[in-house]
Amino acid sequence: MRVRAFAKFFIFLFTVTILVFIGYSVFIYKTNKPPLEEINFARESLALAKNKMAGRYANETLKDAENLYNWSMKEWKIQNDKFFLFRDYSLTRDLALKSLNKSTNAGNEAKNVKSKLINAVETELSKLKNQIERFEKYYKTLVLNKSTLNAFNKGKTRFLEAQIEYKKNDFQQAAKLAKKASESISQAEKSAHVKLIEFYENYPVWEKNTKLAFNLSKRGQTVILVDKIQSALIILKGGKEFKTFPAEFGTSWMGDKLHAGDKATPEGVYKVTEKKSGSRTKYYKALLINYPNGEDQKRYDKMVKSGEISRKTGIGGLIEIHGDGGKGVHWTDGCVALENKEMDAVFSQSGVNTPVIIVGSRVSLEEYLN
Amino acid sequence: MVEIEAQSSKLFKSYGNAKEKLVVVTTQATELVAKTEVRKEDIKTEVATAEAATLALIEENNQLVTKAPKGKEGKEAIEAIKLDLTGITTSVGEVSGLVASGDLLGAQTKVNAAQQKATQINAELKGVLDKAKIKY
Repeated sequence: MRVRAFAKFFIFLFTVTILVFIGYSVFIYKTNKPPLEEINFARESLALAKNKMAGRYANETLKDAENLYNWSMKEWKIQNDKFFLFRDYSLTRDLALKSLNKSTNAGNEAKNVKSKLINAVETELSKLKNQIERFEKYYKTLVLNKSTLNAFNKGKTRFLEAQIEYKKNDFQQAAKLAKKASESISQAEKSAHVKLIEFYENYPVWEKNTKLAFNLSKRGQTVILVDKIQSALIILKGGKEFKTFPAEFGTSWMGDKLHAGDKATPEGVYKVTEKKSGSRTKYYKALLINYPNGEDQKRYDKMVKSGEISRKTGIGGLIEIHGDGGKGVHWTDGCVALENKEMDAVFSQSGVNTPVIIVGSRVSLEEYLN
Repeated sequence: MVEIEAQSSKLFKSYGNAKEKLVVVTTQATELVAKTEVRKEDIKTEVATAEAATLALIEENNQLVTKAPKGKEGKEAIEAIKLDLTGITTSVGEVSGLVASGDLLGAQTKVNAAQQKATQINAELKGVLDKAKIKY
């Protein structure tokens, strides 16, 4: 009897244990769910961040998010390899949520960085556009050396490339190219500005001679005033600018004429010594001026004496205001060239002894640049 | 991967859905690779066309430079244009290197910028020749 009762009890206990075990297993299986939802959210969030170009604009944060996601997947696999009762998905879930958080940050960061970058590139491109326009307006017509021109050309090419990259929405590349463009153009602008400052060293003399031109004109004389930097010839009458014409000069027009062959247009106070037309000039019509004047001769003699100019080099001459101009470039050997129609007007307004005053600029450097 | 692990978490596994998804993804990936190759070839063709057009423009510009006013007339301006042309030629020279290194978009940008500049110079040169009343 006792044995039977014991057997019954044992069977009961075993059944209960099995039932408890099954119940426990079902409970564990039902409650210990894998973090599928979290993993999916993390994956979708990563895709969203990549769509927002986080790979380009928030690469570090995106990498962190990807690493967390990969770690989460690895951890999930480790848990899946275990018997289901011993699986623990808490770390997998935790990593997936961290990845989700990180990738959301990466997306937002990318959006902000991109927006800031677009603003910066737009500002830089607009600044460069103004810089190029300023260089072309104030410096490109100056007599510049090859390295300055090369730097400007290089900068302009980089600017075009930056504009193309901007249109292609590659703002990082656009920013890089814009930076290179800015470096080159600034370098060119700097050296061109130095050249301009050197040119303006004679401004006190030009200012004095411009005043003289206006004063002579006030006294009733017709005066020809030539402004090199503005590439202009102005007829002054009654103390006022009567007419202004575009003018072209010697190829090395920046600076005073010192000797023959320097291709510079002289600066100073001169007068018309001869009016030429027909077969007497090959440039349509011409007004010969008295270069070299006394001051030019004195300076030349001094320079020869000091050895700055060889004795074999002459002082030069035959400086004229003549026609056949209008080429849009400085091309003469030192003369002032005008378009034929404009030369007619100047020719008819001038006579022998008409004062011709040539200055580098009739306005100061500050006024010129403004 | 998620689908595989999701099934691995279950007591009764079924990888049918995962297999179907894998087939779709593999097909899409193959299509994408093919499309990328086609796009790459398109860009290469675009770059080669733009490069040829730019080189032709540079050649035309060099010819125009020889026709430009000789001697004192416009010499300085022509020298400046020659410098610019040299710069563009150097830029175009870098294009083949970029294509070879696989930077097709960089090559495209470079050649397009060079083409724009060569076109500007062409107009500038023709302007100089027109002013000097020289036929080209």
